[in-house]
Amino acid sequence: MKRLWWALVAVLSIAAVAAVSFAVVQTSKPTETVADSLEERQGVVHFVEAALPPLLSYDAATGDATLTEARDRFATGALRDEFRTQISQLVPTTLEPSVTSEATVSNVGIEALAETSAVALAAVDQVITSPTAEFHKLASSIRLALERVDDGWLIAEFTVVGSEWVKLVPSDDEPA
Amino acid sequence: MIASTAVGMISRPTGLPSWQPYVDAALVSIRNLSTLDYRTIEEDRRRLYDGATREFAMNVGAGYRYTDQYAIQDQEVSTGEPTGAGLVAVGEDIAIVLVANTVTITREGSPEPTVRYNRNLVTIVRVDGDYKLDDCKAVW
Repeated sequence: MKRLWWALVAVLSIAAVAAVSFAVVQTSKPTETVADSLEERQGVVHFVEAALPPLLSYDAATGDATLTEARDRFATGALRDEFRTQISQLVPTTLEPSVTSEATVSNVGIEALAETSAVALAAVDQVITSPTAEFHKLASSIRLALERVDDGWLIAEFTVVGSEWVKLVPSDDEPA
Repeated sequence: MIASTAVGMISRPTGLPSWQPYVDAALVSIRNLSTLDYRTIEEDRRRLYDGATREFAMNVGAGYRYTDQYAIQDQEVSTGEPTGAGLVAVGEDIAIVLVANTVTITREGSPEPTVRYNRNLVTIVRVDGDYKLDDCKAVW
């Protein structure tokens, strides 16, 4: 009976030491998150670079059709429901006749990234042209809340965290 | 009890990615870089350089000596308020962070403050365990 007791104590002691050792090993090595994955981050960046130009570009010649197509392809949730309101906050003139907005994404940074959601910060430039207005560029910083749907991403929220007009000097072959 | 403590340690979520300190350092750097009071300008610059590499202080900082003279002359006070920061790229002991920043500037004789919105690509390096500002480029 005494021998059985000592055997039980030994087994429990070994188990306790093993558990502590395992915990120390696990906590001493950094836990890799989804955001640590280069492939996952690149997936978000490539999506934002593909989605923002059609969402923020407008050509009076093609009208609303291209914007609606972009909304259906890249937006979900609040952005999809209030698409017109949200983009008109960024460029009030976008939907006016004879106005062209050509958007490009210069940089994208990852603020947060998890299995099913992400937050990205994008530096976006929009060249706005119209027959009457001066030739302008709007330089904006936009925070995007993304949702993973199936195997891809969609933009659920869209917040302009800063934007400033930059006056461009047109070249000879560009409209003044 | 030992075993339950061990289990607690294992299941505790960390949550933040390994590059988060670079982003945090970029936010602090941009705030320090864009916050300046003509009355405390040397102290403000010292605070910036304390969190920067020697190379930054020598190369980029040299240009500030010129613009700081105008800040003193115009009795300028600027306050930087970063509104967002995201990781663009990360390597071994180095990262590039996109930072959006709002700067409010007041000058003697100007009743209304000027508000500027800018974007910066900030390079942060890890030196002896510290995260230091190494470069800052405006995104125009």
